[in-house]
Amino acid sequence: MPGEKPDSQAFSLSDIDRVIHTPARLLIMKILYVLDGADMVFLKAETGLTWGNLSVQVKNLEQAGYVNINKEFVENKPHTVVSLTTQGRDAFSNYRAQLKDILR
Amino acid sequence: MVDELKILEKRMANRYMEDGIWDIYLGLMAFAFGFGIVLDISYLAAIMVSVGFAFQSIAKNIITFPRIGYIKLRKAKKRGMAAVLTGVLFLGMMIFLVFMLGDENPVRYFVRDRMLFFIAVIWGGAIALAGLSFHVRRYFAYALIVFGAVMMSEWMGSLGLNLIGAGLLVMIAGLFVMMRFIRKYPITPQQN
Repeated sequence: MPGEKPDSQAFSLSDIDRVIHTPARLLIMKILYVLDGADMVFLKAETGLTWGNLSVQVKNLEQAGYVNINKEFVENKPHTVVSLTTQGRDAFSNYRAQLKDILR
Repeated sequence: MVDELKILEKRMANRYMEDGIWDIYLGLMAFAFGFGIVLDISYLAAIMVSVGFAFQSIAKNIITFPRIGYIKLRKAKKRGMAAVLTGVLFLGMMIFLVFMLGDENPVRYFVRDRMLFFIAVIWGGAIALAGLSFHVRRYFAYALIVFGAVMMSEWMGSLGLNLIGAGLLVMIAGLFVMMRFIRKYPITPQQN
């Protein structure tokens, strides 16, 4: 039937990573993918999210095993550095490949 | 999407050049060398450059990180930056080696007779290279200022005074860049 998507694409769509596939988390993953790590101040400035929303999204990514959260003290101030895990990096690469496949 | 990610990576790294701290440090280096030449105290420049390096690190902690946060660049990007620094050091070493050649060596005479030109090219070239590497266009203007200041001493002023002037000019420009950065990125209360 014209306009109907092939079976392979339908499979890709259902297989898409739901953890990454939300605007806020996708943005965080995209930023972390090109870096070795970033703190919460940087992520907030880059994503434009509120502190609350950013914390929730980063926590979700941590629960999925996609990011590491390291809390450290710099000059007596708490400093939270977020970085992608190997699993997170692979997941983002797969997500990109899947999207490319779907949009091709 | 790959290109988009590369653009994003560049943008992230370049954000740290918006604070003007390296501009001020660059100006301080030219100023320090000029000051050292005028007072004929060779180690003065080394002291000022070292103190300046410590200052830029502290300034990043006080001015930059609380405003735009902190990032760890990927190793590939760090390698690119290291390559620029290595290139500059290599050029400096080449000039030094030329002076270590024997008195009769024609290369030494060739370089000595055009010493100011070589200093101007190396210094200006290094700044322009940094501008190219970090994608900061104002560095090309700084490169021209320093190149011009060194070359000008062939006809007017002295190398020391011209470098002091060029250094001050770059430092003032850096201060303006820093003020713009402070206004653009106010400190927001943190939640950690």
